Amino acid sequence: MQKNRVFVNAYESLSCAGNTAELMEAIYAKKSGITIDTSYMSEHQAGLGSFAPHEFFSSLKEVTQAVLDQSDLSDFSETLLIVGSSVGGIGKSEQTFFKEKSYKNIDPKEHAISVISDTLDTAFGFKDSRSISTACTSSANALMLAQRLINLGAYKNVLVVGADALCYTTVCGFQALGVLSTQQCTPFQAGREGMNVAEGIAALLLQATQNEESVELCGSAGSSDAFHMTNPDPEAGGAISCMQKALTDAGLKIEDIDYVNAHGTGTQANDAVEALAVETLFTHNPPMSSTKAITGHTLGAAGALEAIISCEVIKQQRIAPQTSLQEAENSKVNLPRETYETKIDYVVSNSFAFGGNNTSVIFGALK
Amino acid sequence: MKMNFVVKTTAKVACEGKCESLDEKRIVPKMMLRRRLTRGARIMVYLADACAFTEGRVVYGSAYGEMQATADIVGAIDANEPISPTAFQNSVYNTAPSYFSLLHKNKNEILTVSSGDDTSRNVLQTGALQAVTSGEEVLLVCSEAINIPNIEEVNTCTEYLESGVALTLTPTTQEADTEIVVQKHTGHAPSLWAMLDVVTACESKEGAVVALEL
Repeated sequence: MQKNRVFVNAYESLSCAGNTAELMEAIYAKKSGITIDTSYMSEHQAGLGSFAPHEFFSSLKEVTQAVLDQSDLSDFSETLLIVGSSVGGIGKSEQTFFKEKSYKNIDPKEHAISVISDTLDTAFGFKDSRSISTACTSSANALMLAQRLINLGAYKNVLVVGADALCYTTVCGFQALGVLSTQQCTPFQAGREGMNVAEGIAALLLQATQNEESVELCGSAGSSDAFHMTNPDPEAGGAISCMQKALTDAGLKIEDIDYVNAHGTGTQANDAVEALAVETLFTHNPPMSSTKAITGHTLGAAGALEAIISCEVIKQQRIAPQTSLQEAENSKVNLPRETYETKIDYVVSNSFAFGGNNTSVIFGALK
Repeated sequence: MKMNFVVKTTAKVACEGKCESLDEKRIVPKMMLRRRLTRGARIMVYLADACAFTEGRVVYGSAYGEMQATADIVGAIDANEPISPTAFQNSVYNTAPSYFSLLHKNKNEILTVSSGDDTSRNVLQTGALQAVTSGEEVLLVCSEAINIPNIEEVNTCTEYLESGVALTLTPTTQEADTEIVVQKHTGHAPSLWAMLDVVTACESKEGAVVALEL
Protein backbone atom coordinates (compact mmCIF):
# COMPACT_ATOMS: atom_id res chain seq x y z
CA MET A 1 0.00 0.00 0.00
CA GLN A 2 1.24 3.51 -0.89
CA LYS A 3 1.82 5.44 2.32
CA ASN A 4 1.02 9.14 2.54
CA ARG A 5 4.01 11.17 3.69
CA VAL A 6 3.70 12.99 7.02
CA PHE A 7 4.91 16.54 7.59
CA VAL A 8 5.39 18.54 10.76
CA ASN A 9 4.07 21.93 9.69
CA ALA A 10 3.67 23.93 12.89
CA TYR A 11 4.68 23.58 16.51
CA GLU A 12 5.09 25.42 19.80
CA SER A 13 6.15 24.48 23.30
CA LEU A 14 6.53 25.73 26.84
CA SER A 15 9.05 24.35 29.29
CA CYS A 16 11.24 25.67 32.08
CA ALA A 17 13.49 27.01 29.31
CA GLY A 18 10.65 29.09 27.85
CA ASN A 19 8.89 28.89 24.50
CA THR A 20 10.41 27.09 21.53
CA ALA A 21 12.57 30.00 20.37
CA GLU A 22 13.86 30.57 23.91
CA LEU A 23 14.37 26.85 24.39
CA MET A 24 16.56 26.53 21.30
CA GLU A 25 18.60 29.56 22.36
CA ALA A 26 19.08 27.92 25.74
CA ILE A 27 20.06 24.57 24.23
CA TYR A 28 22.67 26.10 21.91
CA ALA A 29 23.98 28.36 24.72
CA LYS A 30 23.98 25.41 27.17
CA LYS A 31 21.85 27.37 29.62
CA SER A 32 19.68 25.10 31.76
CA GLY A 33 16.17 26.03 32.87
CA ILE A 34 16.41 23.79 35.95
CA THR A 35 16.11 25.38 39.39
CA ILE A 36 16.93 23.90 42.77
CA ASP A 37 13.72 23.45 44.73
CA THR A 38 12.51 22.34 48.15
CA SER A 39 8.82 23.20 47.79
CA TYR A 40 7.73 19.60 47.10
CA MET A 41 10.01 17.95 49.67
CA SER A 42 11.01 20.21 52.54
CA GLU A 43 13.74 17.81 53.71
CA HIS A 44 15.25 17.21 50.28
CA GLN A 45 16.35 19.57 47.57
CA ALA A 46 15.82 18.57 43.97
CA GLY A 47 16.54 20.06 40.60
CA LEU A 48 13.12 20.67 39.01
CA GLY A 49 11.89 22.29 35.81
CA SER A 50 8.94 24.61 36.33
CA PHE A 51 7.38 27.21 34.07
CA ALA A 52 5.65 29.05 36.93
CA PRO A 53 4.13 31.64 37.09
CA HIS A 54 2.52 30.44 33.84
CA GLU A 55 -0.63 28.50 34.82
CA PHE A 56 -0.72 25.01 33.31
CA PHE A 57 -4.17 24.83 31.70
CA SER A 58 -4.07 28.43 30.43
CA SER A 59 -0.66 27.71 28.94
CA LEU A 60 -1.99 24.52 27.36
CA LYS A 61 -4.55 26.55 25.42
CA GLU A 62 -2.05 29.30 24.55
CA VAL A 63 0.47 26.83 23.13
CA THR A 64 -2.27 25.16 21.08
CA GLN A 65 -3.53 28.52 19.83
CA ALA A 66 0.02 29.40 18.77
CA VAL A 67 0.16 26.26 16.62
CA LEU A 68 -3.21 27.07 15.05
CA ASP A 69 -1.99 30.62 14.32
CA GLN A 70 1.13 29.27 12.57
CA SER A 71 -0.83 26.75 10.51
CA ASP A 72 -2.81 26.99 7.28
CA LEU A 73 -5.96 25.94 9.17
CA SER A 74 -8.72 28.35 10.20
CA ASP A 75 -9.80 26.00 13.00
CA PHE A 76 -9.32 22.43 14.21
CA SER A 77 -12.75 21.13 13.11
CA GLU A 78 -11.16 18.69 10.63
CA THR A 79 -8.22 17.80 12.89
CA LEU A 80 -7.78 14.79 15.17
CA LEU A 81 -6.26 15.57 18.58
CA ILE A 82 -3.97 12.96 20.14
CA VAL A 83 -2.72 13.82 23.62
CA GLY A 84 0.17 12.15 25.40
CA SER A 85 0.23 12.60 29.16
CA SER A 86 1.28 10.55 32.17
CA VAL A 87 -0.11 12.80 34.89
CA GLY A 88 -3.34 14.31 33.56
CA GLY A 89 -5.16 16.14 36.33
CA ILE A 90 -3.67 14.43 39.36
CA GLY A 91 -2.14 17.68 40.63
CA LYS A 92 -5.58 19.13 41.34
CA SER A 93 -6.73 15.88 43.00
CA GLU A 94 -3.67 15.95 45.25
CA GLN A 95 -4.42 19.48 46.40
CA THR A 96 -8.04 18.62 47.16
CA PHE A 97 -7.07 15.51 49.10
CA PHE A 98 -4.30 17.24 51.07
CA LYS A 99 -6.76 19.95 52.10
CA GLU A 100 -9.88 17.89 52.79
CA LYS A 101 -8.49 14.37 53.58
CA SER A 102 -11.30 13.03 51.45
CA TYR A 103 -12.08 12.21 47.82
CA LYS A 104 -15.55 13.81 47.98
CA ASN A 105 -14.71 16.96 46.08
CA ILE A 106 -12.39 15.35 43.54
CA ASP A 107 -14.03 15.45 40.12
CA PRO A 108 -13.09 12.19 38.34
CA LYS A 109 -13.14 13.96 34.98
CA GLU A 110 -10.64 16.54 36.22
CA HIS A 111 -8.45 13.82 37.76
CA ALA A 112 -8.20 11.70 34.62
CA ILE A 113 -5.57 11.83 31.86
CA SER A 114 -8.36 12.96 29.54
CA VAL A 115 -8.70 16.33 31.30
CA ILE A 116 -6.02 17.56 28.84
CA SER A 117 -7.96 16.56 25.72
CA ASP A 118 -11.28 17.63 27.27
CA THR A 119 -9.83 21.09 27.97
CA LEU A 120 -8.52 21.46 24.43
CA ASP A 121 -11.62 20.03 22.80
CA THR A 122 -13.82 22.47 24.70
CA ALA A 123 -11.59 25.38 23.66
CA PHE A 124 -10.99 24.44 20.03
CA GLY A 125 -13.58 21.89 18.87
CA PHE A 126 -11.55 19.05 17.33
CA LYS A 127 -13.05 16.52 14.94
CA ASP A 128 -12.20 13.79 17.45
CA SER A 129 -9.68 13.21 20.20
CA ARG A 130 -7.91 10.44 22.06
CA SER A 131 -5.35 10.24 24.86
CA ILE A 132 -2.33 8.00 25.22
CA SER A 133 -0.73 7.33 28.61
CA THR A 134 2.35 5.14 28.53
CA ALA A 135 4.32 7.11 31.14
CA CYS A 136 7.38 8.80 29.60
CA THR A 137 6.71 7.57 26.05
CA SER A 138 3.15 8.95 26.00
CA SER A 139 3.57 11.74 23.46
CA ALA A 140 6.17 9.83 21.42
CA ASN A 141 3.54 7.12 21.03
CA ALA A 142 0.99 9.81 20.16
CA LEU A 143 3.32 10.90 17.34
CA MET A 144 3.69 7.30 16.17
CA LEU A 145 -0.08 6.83 16.01
CA ALA A 146 -0.55 10.17 14.24
CA GLN A 147 2.02 9.17 11.64
CA ARG A 148 0.29 5.85 11.00
CA LEU A 149 -3.15 7.46 10.66
CA ILE A 150 -1.86 9.97 8.09
CA ASN A 151 0.16 7.25 6.32
CA LEU A 152 -3.07 5.31 5.80
CA GLY A 153 -5.10 8.35 4.78
CA ALA A 154 -7.46 8.14 7.74
CA TYR A 155 -6.72 11.79 8.62
CA LYS A 156 -5.07 14.72 6.86
CA ASN A 157 -4.44 16.77 10.01
CA VAL A 158 -3.47 15.48 13.43
CA LEU A 159 -2.47 17.70 16.35
CA VAL A 160 -0.22 15.90 18.82
CA VAL A 161 0.00 17.47 22.26
CA GLY A 162 2.32 16.27 25.00
CA ALA A 163 1.50 17.81 28.36
CA ASP A 164 2.46 17.08 31.94
CA ALA A 165 2.47 19.36 34.98
CA LEU A 166 4.67 19.08 38.04
CA CYS A 167 2.94 17.40 40.97
CA TYR A 168 3.77 15.80 44.30
CA THR A 169 3.14 12.27 43.04
CA THR A 170 5.86 12.39 40.41
CA VAL A 171 8.42 14.45 42.32
CA CYS A 172 8.09 12.41 45.52
CA GLY A 173 7.67 9.17 43.56
CA PHE A 174 10.95 9.54 41.69
CA GLN A 175 12.58 10.51 45.00
CA ALA A 176 11.29 7.21 46.42
CA LEU A 177 12.96 5.39 43.56
CA GLY A 178 16.21 7.14 44.45
CA VAL A 179 16.73 8.61 40.99
CA LEU A 180 16.28 12.37 41.57
CA SER A 181 19.24 14.69 41.24
CA THR A 182 19.71 17.41 43.83
CA GLN A 183 21.31 19.54 41.11
CA GLN A 184 20.88 20.15 37.39
CA CYS A 185 21.04 16.70 35.80
CA THR A 186 24.14 15.58 33.90
CA PRO A 187 23.10 13.05 31.25
CA PHE A 188 25.77 10.53 30.21
CA GLN A 189 28.25 11.92 32.76
CA ALA A 190 30.36 9.42 34.70
CA GLY A 191 29.03 9.28 38.27
CA ARG A 192 25.84 11.20 37.44
CA GLU A 193 23.37 11.71 40.26
CA GLY A 194 19.99 11.34 38.60
CA MET A 195 17.15 13.11 36.81
CA ASN A 196 15.20 16.38 37.09
CA VAL A 197 11.40 16.11 37.03
CA ALA A 198 9.90 18.95 34.98
CA GLU A 199 6.70 20.19 33.45
CA GLY A 200 6.18 20.79 29.78
CA ILE A 201 3.67 21.37 27.02
CA ALA A 202 4.49 20.67 23.39
CA ALA A 203 2.14 20.69 20.40
CA LEU A 204 2.89 19.67 16.81
CA LEU A 205 0.58 19.81 13.81
CA LEU A 206 1.16 16.84 11.50
CA GLN A 207 -0.31 17.03 8.01
CA ALA A 208 -0.37 15.10 4.77
CA THR A 209 0.58 18.25 2.86
CA GLN A 210 3.95 19.97 2.95
CA ASN A 211 5.11 23.56 2.85
CA GLU A 212 8.53 25.21 2.61
CA GLU A 213 8.99 25.09 6.37
CA SER A 214 7.99 21.44 6.81
CA VAL A 215 10.07 18.76 8.47
CA GLU A 216 9.12 15.22 7.56
CA LEU A 217 8.15 12.63 10.15
CA CYS A 218 9.77 9.75 8.29
CA GLY A 219 9.25 6.79 10.57
CA SER A 220 8.57 5.51 14.05
CA ALA A 221 8.32 2.31 16.01
CA GLY A 222 7.90 0.91 19.46
CA SER A 223 9.03 -2.11 21.42
CA SER A 224 8.82 -3.61 24.88
CA ASP A 225 11.78 -4.72 26.95
CA ALA A 226 9.74 -7.40 28.76
CA PHE A 227 12.50 -7.24 31.36
CA HIS A 228 11.55 -5.19 34.44
CA MET A 229 8.97 -2.57 35.43
CA THR A 230 11.47 0.25 35.88
CA ASN A 231 14.94 -0.97 34.95
CA PRO A 232 15.81 -1.17 31.27
CA ASP A 233 17.13 -4.34 29.67
CA PRO A 234 20.88 -4.07 30.42
CA GLU A 235 21.68 -5.53 27.00
CA ALA A 236 19.65 -2.70 25.42
CA GLY A 237 17.64 -5.10 23.29
CA GLY A 238 14.42 -3.08 23.49
CA ALA A 239 16.11 0.24 22.72
CA ILE A 240 18.03 -1.19 19.76
CA SER A 241 14.93 -2.94 18.46
CA CYS A 242 12.74 0.16 18.40
CA MET A 243 15.43 2.27 16.68
CA GLN A 244 15.96 -0.47 14.09
CA LYS A 245 12.23 -0.77 13.43
CA ALA A 246 11.89 3.01 13.12
CA LEU A 247 14.69 3.02 10.54
CA THR A 248 12.94 0.27 8.61
CA ASP A 249 9.65 2.19 8.79
CA ALA A 250 11.43 5.27 7.44
CA GLY A 251 13.17 3.30 4.70
CA LEU A 252 16.56 4.51 5.95
CA LYS A 253 19.92 2.93 6.59
CA ILE A 254 21.71 3.16 9.91
CA GLU A 255 24.35 5.52 8.51
CA ASP A 256 21.66 7.97 7.34
CA ILE A 257 21.15 9.20 10.91
CA ASP A 258 23.04 12.46 11.52
CA TYR A 259 22.04 13.15 15.14
CA VAL A 260 20.45 11.22 18.00
CA ASN A 261 18.25 13.20 20.37
CA ALA A 262 18.60 10.88 23.32
CA HIS A 263 16.05 10.10 26.00
CA GLY A 264 19.01 10.71 28.35
CA THR A 265 17.26 11.23 31.66
CA GLY A 266 20.45 11.42 33.70
CA THR A 267 19.70 8.25 35.68
CA GLN A 268 22.38 5.60 35.96
CA ALA A 269 20.33 2.86 34.33
CA ASN A 270 18.74 4.77 31.45
CA ASP A 271 21.85 6.52 30.19
CA ALA A 272 24.12 3.49 30.40
CA VAL A 273 21.69 1.37 28.41
CA GLU A 274 20.84 4.07 25.86
CA ALA A 275 24.54 4.78 25.24
CA LEU A 276 25.11 1.06 24.77
CA ALA A 277 22.21 0.90 22.31
CA VAL A 278 23.48 3.84 20.26
CA GLU A 279 27.07 2.57 20.37
CA THR A 280 25.93 -0.87 19.21
CA LEU A 281 23.55 0.20 16.46
CA PHE A 282 25.13 3.34 15.02
CA THR A 283 28.63 2.22 14.14
CA HIS A 284 29.22 5.49 12.22
CA ASN A 285 29.10 7.24 15.61
CA PRO A 286 26.67 10.14 14.98
CA PRO A 287 26.52 12.97 17.56
CA MET A 288 24.09 12.33 20.38
CA SER A 289 22.87 14.56 23.19
CA SER A 290 20.14 14.74 25.77
CA THR A 291 18.37 18.09 25.98
CA LYS A 292 16.95 17.12 29.38
CA ALA A 293 19.95 18.91 30.86
CA ILE A 294 18.12 22.07 29.70
CA THR A 295 14.44 21.13 30.08
CA GLY A 296 14.48 18.42 32.73
CA HIS A 297 12.39 15.33 32.13
CA THR A 298 8.91 16.47 31.15
CA LEU A 299 7.63 12.87 31.44
CA GLY A 300 4.64 12.34 29.12
CA ALA A 301 5.41 15.57 27.28
CA ALA A 302 9.04 14.66 26.59
CA GLY A 303 8.50 12.85 23.30
CA ALA A 304 6.63 15.80 21.78
CA LEU A 305 9.00 18.40 23.24
CA GLU A 306 12.03 16.55 21.92
CA ALA A 307 10.31 16.09 18.56
CA ILE A 308 10.15 19.88 18.33
CA ILE A 309 13.84 20.12 19.30
CA SER A 310 14.66 17.53 16.62
CA CYS A 311 12.75 19.55 14.00
CA GLU A 312 14.61 22.70 15.05
CA VAL A 313 17.98 20.93 14.86
CA ILE A 314 17.14 19.98 11.27
CA LYS A 315 15.88 23.46 10.36
CA GLN A 316 18.87 25.23 11.92
CA GLN A 317 21.38 22.58 10.75
CA ARG A 318 23.07 22.88 14.14
CA ILE A 319 23.87 20.03 16.49
CA ALA A 320 22.57 20.43 20.06
CA PRO A 321 25.49 20.03 22.47
CA GLN A 322 25.50 17.90 25.59
CA THR A 323 25.15 20.42 28.41
CA SER A 324 26.75 19.67 31.79
CA LEU A 325 29.08 16.99 30.50
CA GLN A 326 32.56 16.85 31.99
CA GLU A 327 33.56 13.23 31.59
CA ALA A 328 31.44 10.76 29.64
CA GLU A 329 30.73 7.39 31.22
CA ASN A 330 30.79 5.74 27.79
CA SER A 331 33.63 7.16 25.73
CA LYS A 332 32.56 5.24 22.62
CA VAL A 333 29.53 7.46 21.94
CA ASN A 334 29.90 10.86 20.31
CA LEU A 335 28.66 13.43 22.84
CA PRO A 336 29.40 16.91 21.41
CA ARG A 337 30.54 19.42 24.01
CA GLU A 338 29.75 22.46 21.88
CA THR A 339 27.17 23.62 19.31
CA TYR A 340 28.29 23.23 15.72
CA GLU A 341 26.84 23.53 12.23
CA THR A 342 26.79 20.53 9.94
CA LYS A 343 24.58 18.89 7.35
CA ILE A 344 21.70 17.21 9.17
CA ASP A 345 19.26 15.22 7.08
CA TYR A 346 17.87 12.76 9.61
CA VAL A 347 17.42 12.77 13.38
CA VAL A 348 16.21 9.96 15.61
CA SER A 349 14.53 10.92 18.88
CA ASN A 350 14.23 8.27 21.59
CA SER A 351 11.75 7.92 24.42
CA PHE A 352 11.80 5.16 27.03
CA ALA A 353 9.36 4.54 29.87
CA PHE A 354 8.36 2.47 32.88
CA GLY A 355 7.20 -0.96 31.89
CA GLY A 356 10.04 -1.21 29.38
CA ASN A 357 8.03 0.81 26.86
CA ASN A 358 10.33 2.14 24.08
CA THR A 359 9.57 4.46 21.16
CA SER A 360 11.80 5.96 18.48
CA VAL A 361 10.71 8.64 16.02
CA ILE A 362 12.72 9.75 12.98
CA PHE A 363 12.52 13.23 11.46
CA GLY A 364 14.02 14.30 8.15
CA ALA A 365 14.82 17.41 6.14
CA LEU A 366 12.56 17.90 3.12
CA LYS A 367 13.71 15.98 0.05
CA MET B 1 -11.92 5.33 7.59
CA LYS B 2 -13.46 1.94 8.36
CA MET B 3 -11.76 -1.43 7.89
CA ASN B 4 -12.82 -4.99 8.58
CA PHE B 5 -11.51 -7.30 11.30
CA VAL B 6 -12.09 -10.83 12.50
CA VAL B 7 -12.94 -10.95 16.19
CA LYS B 8 -11.45 -14.32 17.05
CA THR B 9 -11.83 -14.32 20.82
CA THR B 10 -13.64 -12.31 23.46
CA ALA B 11 -13.70 -12.27 27.25
CA LYS B 12 -15.14 -10.20 30.05
CA VAL B 13 -15.30 -10.10 33.83
CA ALA B 14 -17.20 -7.91 36.28
CA CYS B 15 -17.35 -8.07 40.09
CA GLU B 16 -19.11 -5.79 42.55
CA GLY B 17 -16.07 -5.98 44.82
CA LYS B 18 -12.77 -7.83 44.45
CA CYS B 19 -12.74 -10.46 41.69
CA GLU B 20 -11.80 -13.64 43.55
CA SER B 21 -11.54 -16.07 40.63
CA LEU B 22 -8.87 -14.68 38.34
CA ASP B 23 -6.87 -17.94 38.35
CA GLU B 24 -3.62 -16.10 39.13
CA LYS B 25 -1.70 -19.13 40.45
CA ARG B 26 -2.04 -20.97 37.16
CA ILE B 27 -1.61 -17.94 34.90
CA VAL B 28 1.30 -16.41 36.85
CA PRO B 29 3.17 -19.34 38.39
CA LYS B 30 6.14 -17.26 39.60
CA MET B 31 5.19 -16.10 43.08
CA MET B 32 7.42 -13.00 43.11
CA LEU B 33 5.85 -11.68 39.94
CA ARG B 34 2.36 -12.66 41.03
CA ARG B 35 2.71 -10.79 44.32
CA ARG B 36 3.64 -7.57 42.53
CA LEU B 37 0.65 -7.57 40.17
CA THR B 38 -1.82 -4.75 40.64
CA ARG B 39 -5.54 -5.49 40.52
CA GLY B 40 -5.63 -4.06 37.00
CA ALA B 41 -2.75 -6.32 35.98
CA ARG B 42 -4.51 -9.38 37.42
CA ILE B 43 -7.62 -8.59 35.38
CA MET B 44 -5.44 -7.96 32.33
CA VAL B 45 -3.60 -11.29 32.46
CA TYR B 46 -6.84 -13.14 33.22
CA LEU B 47 -8.58 -11.66 30.18
CA ALA B 48 -5.53 -12.21 27.94
CA ASP B 49 -5.44 -15.85 29.06
CA ALA B 50 -9.14 -16.21 28.29
CA CYS B 51 -8.39 -14.87 24.81
CA ALA B 52 -5.44 -17.32 24.49
CA PHE B 53 -3.16 -14.42 23.60
CA THR B 54 0.49 -14.34 24.67
CA GLU B 55 2.44 -12.70 21.84
CA GLY B 56 1.78 -9.62 19.72
CA ARG B 57 0.79 -5.99 19.91
CA VAL B 58 -1.41 -4.98 22.83
CA VAL B 59 -3.69 -1.97 23.26
CA TYR B 60 -4.90 -1.46 26.80
CA GLY B 61 -7.34 1.12 28.11
CA SER B 62 -8.39 2.48 31.47
CA ALA B 63 -10.09 5.75 32.29
CA TYR B 64 -8.73 5.93 35.83
CA GLY B 65 -5.61 3.76 35.77
CA GLU B 66 -4.01 2.31 38.88
CA MET B 67 -6.25 3.78 41.58
CA GLN B 68 -4.83 1.81 44.53
CA ALA B 69 -1.23 2.78 43.77
CA THR B 70 -2.23 6.41 43.23
CA ALA B 71 -4.19 6.48 46.50
CA ASP B 72 -1.28 4.85 48.37
CA ILE B 73 1.16 7.48 47.08
CA VAL B 74 -1.03 10.50 47.78
CA GLY B 75 -1.93 9.09 51.21
CA ALA B 76 1.74 8.58 52.08
CA ILE B 77 2.66 12.11 51.00
CA ASP B 78 -0.21 13.54 53.04
CA ALA B 79 0.86 11.54 56.09
CA ASN B 80 4.51 12.50 55.57
CA GLU B 81 5.38 8.82 55.29
CA PRO B 82 7.79 7.16 52.85
CA ILE B 83 6.35 6.30 49.45
CA SER B 84 6.63 2.68 48.41
CA PRO B 85 8.84 2.47 45.29
CA THR B 86 6.64 -0.41 44.14
CA ALA B 87 3.53 1.76 44.47
CA PHE B 88 5.17 4.43 42.33
CA GLN B 89 6.34 2.05 39.60
CA ASN B 90 2.86 0.50 39.62
CA SER B 91 1.08 3.85 39.35
CA VAL B 92 1.55 4.45 35.61
CA TYR B 93 -1.33 3.73 33.26
CA ASN B 94 0.65 1.12 31.30
CA THR B 95 1.31 -0.99 34.41
CA ALA B 96 -1.18 -3.75 33.59
CA PRO B 97 -0.04 -4.46 30.01
CA SER B 98 3.59 -4.13 31.09
CA TYR B 99 3.14 -6.96 33.59
CA PHE B 100 1.53 -8.93 30.76
CA SER B 101 4.65 -8.32 28.64
CA LEU B 102 6.89 -9.41 31.54
CA LEU B 103 4.84 -12.56 32.09
CA HIS B 104 4.99 -13.69 28.47
CA LYS B 105 8.29 -12.06 27.40
CA ASN B 106 6.24 -10.24 24.80
CA LYS B 107 8.50 -7.61 23.18
CA ASN B 108 5.88 -6.14 20.86
CA GLU B 109 4.43 -2.62 20.99
CA ILE B 110 2.18 -1.84 23.92
CA LEU B 111 -0.07 1.22 23.92
CA THR B 112 -2.32 2.48 26.67
CA VAL B 113 -5.33 4.69 26.04
CA SER B 114 -7.02 6.80 28.71
CA SER B 115 -9.82 8.87 27.23
CA GLY B 116 -12.40 9.05 30.01
CA ASP B 117 -15.79 7.64 28.99
CA ASP B 118 -14.47 7.28 25.41
CA THR B 119 -11.63 4.98 26.48
CA SER B 120 -12.85 1.72 24.96
CA ARG B 121 -14.06 3.47 21.78
CA ASN B 122 -10.52 4.81 21.39
CA VAL B 123 -9.01 1.42 22.28
CA LEU B 124 -11.02 -0.08 19.42
CA GLN B 125 -9.77 2.63 17.04
CA THR B 126 -6.18 2.32 18.19
CA GLY B 127 -6.32 -1.47 18.16
CA ALA B 128 -7.73 -1.42 14.64
CA LEU B 129 -4.86 0.85 13.54
CA GLN B 130 -2.29 -1.39 15.21
CA ALA B 131 -3.78 -4.47 13.54
CA VAL B 132 -3.83 -2.86 10.10
CA THR B 133 -0.26 -1.57 10.35
CA SER B 134 1.13 -4.89 11.62
CA GLY B 135 -1.14 -7.20 9.61
CA GLU B 136 -1.31 -9.39 12.72
CA GLU B 137 -3.66 -10.27 15.54
CA VAL B 138 -3.79 -7.58 18.26
CA LEU B 139 -5.11 -7.92 21.82
CA LEU B 140 -7.41 -5.19 23.12
CA VAL B 141 -8.17 -4.97 26.84
CA CYS B 142 -10.09 -2.37 28.80
CA SER B 143 -10.43 -2.56 32.55
CA GLU B 144 -11.24 -0.51 35.61
CA ALA B 145 -10.10 -1.48 39.11
CA ILE B 146 -11.46 1.09 41.55
CA ASN B 147 -12.06 -1.15 44.55
CA ILE B 148 -10.21 1.06 47.03
CA PRO B 149 -11.27 2.31 50.47
CA ASN B 150 -13.69 5.28 50.35
CA ILE B 151 -14.22 5.03 46.59
CA GLU B 152 -17.94 5.53 47.24
CA GLU B 153 -17.09 9.20 47.87
CA VAL B 154 -16.53 9.68 44.13
CA ASN B 155 -17.83 6.62 42.31
CA THR B 156 -21.02 7.40 40.47
CA CYS B 157 -20.23 5.51 37.28
CA THR B 158 -20.23 1.78 38.02
CA GLU B 159 -21.66 -0.98 40.21
CA TYR B 160 -18.66 -3.16 39.34
CA LEU B 161 -15.56 -2.03 41.21
CA GLU B 162 -13.44 -4.49 39.23
CA SER B 163 -14.28 -5.16 35.63
CA GLY B 164 -12.74 -5.70 32.25
CA VAL B 165 -13.40 -6.66 28.66
CA ALA B 166 -11.08 -8.05 26.00
CA LEU B 167 -11.04 -9.18 22.39
CA THR B 168 -8.59 -9.91 19.63
CA LEU B 169 -8.68 -8.27 16.20
CA THR B 170 -7.13 -9.55 12.98
CA PRO B 171 -7.39 -7.51 9.78
CA THR B 172 -9.29 -9.18 6.98
CA THR B 173 -10.52 -8.57 3.45
CA GLN B 174 -13.74 -10.47 4.24
CA GLU B 175 -17.02 -8.55 4.26
CA ALA B 176 -18.35 -7.54 7.66
CA ASP B 177 -21.07 -9.98 8.77
CA THR B 178 -21.79 -8.74 12.28
CA GLU B 179 -23.51 -5.52 13.23
CA ILE B 180 -22.40 -3.71 16.35
CA VAL B 181 -25.33 -2.23 18.25
CA VAL B 182 -24.53 0.71 20.49
CA GLN B 183 -26.03 0.10 23.92
CA LYS B 184 -26.02 1.49 27.44
CA HIS B 185 -24.39 -1.18 29.59
CA THR B 186 -25.99 -0.01 32.80
CA GLY B 187 -23.91 -0.85 35.85
CA HIS B 188 -20.65 -1.00 33.92
CA ALA B 189 -18.21 1.91 33.72
CA PRO B 190 -18.94 3.90 30.53
CA SER B 191 -15.25 3.58 29.66
CA LEU B 192 -15.94 -0.10 28.83
CA TRP B 193 -19.18 0.32 26.88
CA ALA B 194 -17.90 0.46 23.29
CA MET B 195 -15.90 -2.74 23.71
CA LEU B 196 -18.81 -4.39 25.48
CA ASP B 197 -20.88 -3.55 22.38
CA VAL B 198 -18.40 -5.48 20.20
CA VAL B 199 -18.15 -8.40 22.61
CA THR B 200 -21.94 -8.61 22.89
CA ALA B 201 -22.22 -8.75 19.10
CA CYS B 202 -19.42 -11.29 18.63
CA GLU B 203 -19.25 -13.56 21.68
CA SER B 204 -21.63 -16.21 20.35
CA LYS B 205 -20.44 -16.06 16.75
CA GLU B 206 -17.15 -17.75 15.93
CA GLY B 207 -15.00 -15.72 13.54
CA ALA B 208 -17.33 -12.72 13.45
CA VAL B 209 -16.22 -10.00 11.05
CA VAL B 210 -16.85 -6.41 12.11
CA ALA B 211 -16.18 -3.03 10.52
CA LEU B 212 -14.28 -0.65 12.80
CA GLU B 213 -13.27 2.98 12.49
CA LEU B 214 -9.54 3.74 12.64
